Amino acid sequence: MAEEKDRIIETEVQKQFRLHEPQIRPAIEYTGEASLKFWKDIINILAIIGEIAEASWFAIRNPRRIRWRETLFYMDICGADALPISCMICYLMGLILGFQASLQMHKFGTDLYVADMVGLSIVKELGPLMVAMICTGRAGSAFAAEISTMKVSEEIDAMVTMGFNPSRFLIIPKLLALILVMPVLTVFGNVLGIIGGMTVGVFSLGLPVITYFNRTVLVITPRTFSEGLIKSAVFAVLIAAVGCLRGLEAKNDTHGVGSAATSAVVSGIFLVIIADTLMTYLFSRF
Amino acid sequence: MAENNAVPMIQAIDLTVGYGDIVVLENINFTINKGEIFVIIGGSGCGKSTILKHLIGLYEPIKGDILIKGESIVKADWDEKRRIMKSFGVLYQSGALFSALTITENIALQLEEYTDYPEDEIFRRVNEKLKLVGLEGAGPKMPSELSGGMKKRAALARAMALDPEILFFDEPSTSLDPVTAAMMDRLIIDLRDRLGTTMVIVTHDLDSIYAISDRVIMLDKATKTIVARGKPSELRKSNPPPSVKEFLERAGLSRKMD
Amino acid sequence: MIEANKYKLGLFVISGISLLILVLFLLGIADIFKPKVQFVTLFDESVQGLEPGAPVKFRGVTIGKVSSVTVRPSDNLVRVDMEAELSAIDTAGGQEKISVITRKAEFFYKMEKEVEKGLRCRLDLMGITGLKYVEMNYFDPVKFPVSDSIPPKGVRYIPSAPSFLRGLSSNITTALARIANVNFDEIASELVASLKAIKSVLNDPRVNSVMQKMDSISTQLETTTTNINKVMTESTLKDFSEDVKKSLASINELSKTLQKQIEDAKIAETTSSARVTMDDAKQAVKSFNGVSSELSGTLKKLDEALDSFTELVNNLDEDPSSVIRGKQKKPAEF
Repeated sequence: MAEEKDRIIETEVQKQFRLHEPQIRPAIEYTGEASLKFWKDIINILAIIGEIAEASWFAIRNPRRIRWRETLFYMDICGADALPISCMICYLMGLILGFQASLQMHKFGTDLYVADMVGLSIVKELGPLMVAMICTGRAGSAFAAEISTMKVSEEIDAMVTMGFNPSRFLIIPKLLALILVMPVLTVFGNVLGIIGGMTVGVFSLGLPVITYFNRTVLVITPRTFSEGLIKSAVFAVLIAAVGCLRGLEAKNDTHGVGSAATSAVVSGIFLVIIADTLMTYLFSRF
Repeated sequence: MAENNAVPMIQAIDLTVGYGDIVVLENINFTINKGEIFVIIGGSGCGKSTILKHLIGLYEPIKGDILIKGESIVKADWDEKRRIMKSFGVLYQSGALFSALTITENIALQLEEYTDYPEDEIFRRVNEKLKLVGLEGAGPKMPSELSGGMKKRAALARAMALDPEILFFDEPSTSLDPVTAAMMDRLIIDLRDRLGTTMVIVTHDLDSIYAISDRVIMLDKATKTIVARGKPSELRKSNPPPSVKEFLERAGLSRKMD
Repeated sequence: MIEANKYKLGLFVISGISLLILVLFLLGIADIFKPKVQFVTLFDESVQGLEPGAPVKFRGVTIGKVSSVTVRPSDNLVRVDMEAELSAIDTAGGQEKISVITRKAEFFYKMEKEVEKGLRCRLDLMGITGLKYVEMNYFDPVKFPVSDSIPPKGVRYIPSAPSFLRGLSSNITTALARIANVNFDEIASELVASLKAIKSVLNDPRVNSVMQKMDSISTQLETTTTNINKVMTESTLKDFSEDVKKSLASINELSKTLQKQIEDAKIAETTSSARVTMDDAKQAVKSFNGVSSELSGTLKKLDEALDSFTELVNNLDEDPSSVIRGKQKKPAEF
């Protein structure tokens, strides 16, 4: 009887433990796992950036051996095809910014400063950022899906055993295409964004087009404009790199393709924002 | 074996392979000689595809060494590895043709990258390989336009683009209808006889084993090692462990069903 | 098939690059290649709100921008380097063919003459942002002489004039200092003393009686005057020239009567007492004189102070927002 009583008490204690366990331990475990994964991610991203740097160095030394046909293809699908949506989004962005700014500025009678606000925000931040978001969604995920599909169908393995460097064959054309194309998209985006702000300025605040235009040209310097373009080129590197990395990391199954694409978009946006923060700080320093 | 003086094409020395910490096969030793058709068999999950990927240098073994023509592919750096890799061709399970390129471009890729041949010479060689696998005229097609068997043959043509000394086959007859599979077998023997290429084949297609293999090793999931080796006919005559016996019984069964 | 739609891609790239070039030209990348002239000024005040890139205006026309703002350690003056586009000032008189060097030389020659005429650089506020710009304009060369600080070498130097805000603050300061110097206590006590003295004089009963007598005299004078008037009217109406003598005689008579009446008023008696009173009053007036001279000094100072205020008020009238802006802060960077 006594023994059985002990056992019952023990199980009560165990029960209590079991009640407490799920609340603390899995949370800690989850945090630990997540940190480990994050750390591994950082290492992988650094590794792929190193690999890309190596491949880029090779490409610079042997420009003839760059897969130009692929590069042009990706320029076409990531650039020319993304133009309408980029222009649309940036125009709307300028419109929204213009509306919000005009509501506030009108109170102080500083209507014309809407041009400053919209112009600088679009050119310095939102133009490159919006284009980067679109390219992450379109190109980054496509790269990840494409490479992970190639991985599933053993094309990457075949490439390696054929003696080809996958980064040269797969990453460089994509990277080069995005670097060439994203600043161009950003130019379009910036112009359309400013036109969006101008629409509000002209139709809602009643500013003359030429006044708004002159004000915009006055506040935006060539330096500001090129800062935005530099930003978008850096974003291009990140989006292409992380898209390809997620593709190469993908599991060898069809589920892997989907999660690679999702992961490419999420990490792409995250990295773009981080890089934007850093660059905004750097540009404000020099 | 016979050719003691010659350097064997492939040597596996105390090879232990696996994924991460999970050991799939332990202390594997075998030698493959020039011009041999060497078949690796075993049940699902026994690690025969894994060992193939180690042999072709895609994975790094946990322990042991792999020598290809006397050179270690394990210890080689990327440039050396690339040079070794150029000496063999691999036919993957799914063909692994680059889906973005046409069949001709797939086959021409290595020639363009590694040789200084002019364009017409490359084109001539591509057509020669296509003729070899019986795919004349399929060159301008995209891989997605080909049937499974045609894809595999195209992939074989691509694997042979640089006239390699060794050809690795990962399940060459899987997902092929018996006629095409038999044709593939004939192609393998034909190529060996004509070019003297060393063939390493991973398969569980028993018909192929009997039809083409010079030598067989059988891997086992439970013991994580080679459970039988030798000529397929000898393998049957000897007193094999139960697992091998069952495997071979099934072979006999499928023979009778034919 | 990996093959780019080359037509589409080409269109995209070409339009993108041409748009970029267009934008850069609109934003003034061509300015980099335009000939420029450099000149410098020294400010003896805070240049808070003046940043490199701030416009330089000549009578309101933007001719260039500030290229750098530095402090000269030898005398803590703020050195502001400026850059103006040569094309902004038409020294060539429309003749484009004149070489850049000639145009530069002409520009500097003109500048030197203009400085003699009173051309000065002055800081001014730009809108509500608190940013400043350099305004070049003509000031009275006497009121704003070229400061004796050593001009920087190697660059054309244009002297500066104190900015409106600096003038305002210095004016207020001097006015306040002058007001503070006035001894209000002394003035007040002396004023009180004088007023007391005057009061005591006025309270004297003799003064009162004099006043009363004066009152009666004045009444009598009034009646007399009425009489005179009557006479005057009648006589003049009849025959003015003839009756002049008569009138004079009657005036004489009248004066006699007056004399008698005054004598009746016993003026002699009051005179002595009046003299005493007058002495007192004289004294009071004397002391009052001292106060008044001091007061006049004070008033002069107040006048000057008021002048300063007037200038302030005028300035405020012209540019009322400058007071609202208050202390200048660095505007938030975007």
